Amino acid sequence: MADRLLVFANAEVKKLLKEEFVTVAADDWYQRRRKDKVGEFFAKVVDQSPRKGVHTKQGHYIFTATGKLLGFNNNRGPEKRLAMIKDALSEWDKLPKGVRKVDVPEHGKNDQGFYRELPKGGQIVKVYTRCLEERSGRLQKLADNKIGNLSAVDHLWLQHLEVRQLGNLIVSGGGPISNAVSLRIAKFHLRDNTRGEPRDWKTNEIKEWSLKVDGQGKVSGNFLIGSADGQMGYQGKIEGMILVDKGRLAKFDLLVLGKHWGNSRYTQGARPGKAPMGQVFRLSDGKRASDRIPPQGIRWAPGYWNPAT
Amino acid sequence: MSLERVLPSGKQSEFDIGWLGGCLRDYKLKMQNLFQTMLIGLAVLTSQADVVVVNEITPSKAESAWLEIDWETDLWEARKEAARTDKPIYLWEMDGHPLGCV
Repeated sequence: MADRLLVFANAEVKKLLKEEFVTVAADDWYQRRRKDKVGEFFAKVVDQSPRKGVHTKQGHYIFTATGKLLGFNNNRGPEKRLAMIKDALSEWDKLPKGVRKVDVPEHGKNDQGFYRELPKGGQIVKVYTRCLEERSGRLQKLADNKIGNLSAVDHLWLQHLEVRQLGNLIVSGGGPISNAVSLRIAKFHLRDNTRGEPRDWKTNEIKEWSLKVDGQGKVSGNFLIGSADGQMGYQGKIEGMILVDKGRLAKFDLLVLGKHWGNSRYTQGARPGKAPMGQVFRLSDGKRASDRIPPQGIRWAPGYWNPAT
Repeated sequence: MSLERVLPSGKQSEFDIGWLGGCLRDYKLKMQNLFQTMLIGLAVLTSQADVVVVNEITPSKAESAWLEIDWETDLWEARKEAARTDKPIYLWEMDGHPLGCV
């Protein structure tokens, strides 16, 4: 949160990163585990940093294409980040060009255990989640400086066959949306990810569930999902519109409104009691790299694609 | 497009007319459904309250300012680009993708 709002929105940081660097963002959960050329190169860089020998490799790294580390920082303040960037640029400028340049070969096969790619013909839906509160008679985002104020971003992936099945369902007059799509939404996307990484819901935690589409593409549903001990949960309604044209999604608009409660291990700091939360699902054209990052819940891919198992 | 304009002129065999009529009937039904769907789509998610709350949930322009930086998501592609352009690489590495979550 601090990185996005304070550091990367800082005008001087933004200018330097845009003009002087090739910028890349990665999920450490995958990257530190990869047993392929990408993983080896990353490990080479990390081993020059304070993260050597540490389980997590989270942080901000500046390095050359040859893998020489020029700077590392895990401090979230813009001043310290800016200082690190300028120091690294100074080190970069001192390097002979012969040291900076390298012929980068193709990296060969990706470690499929820790690499995720949208299946051929698949489509991407952006999922935005935000904690809300009622002020002046309507639901609004939290007032500034309250934790969990930002809109969290995730992606729902749908396979080509699933989209075709949705289209056929609509044309045939509608009905319940398939388990594969329906439970994927429930288990991996109807959750509070506004303060960190949430855990996936288990199938037996889905207490009440309905999600259907009619013959015009109108979507309606409701849900109650919660842990067995009642400490964490989410209850609400879904409405929206799905359009499928020639086997491709033309629209996938859902609005989810409900109340959530409780913390998971990495999403501490939930508001007391049951508090409003809203989610928007919206079709993405996938043109930007940031639109193509995998769903948070696909770390175990078979479970994501077959959520009923 | 009306059904009449689609029908070919001239005589047709009984089989051709039956088959063609069926296809055209299905086409007309799909076009009607698509048009009705678009109208309902406009109605479902353009009620004032829905539009307001959707705008509350989705990121504002200010919240998205950090996306003005052109983030690559593939370290090897970034490495190739850095070699090609003679630039250093800035890697933002986080548990949970930094461009997702918060």
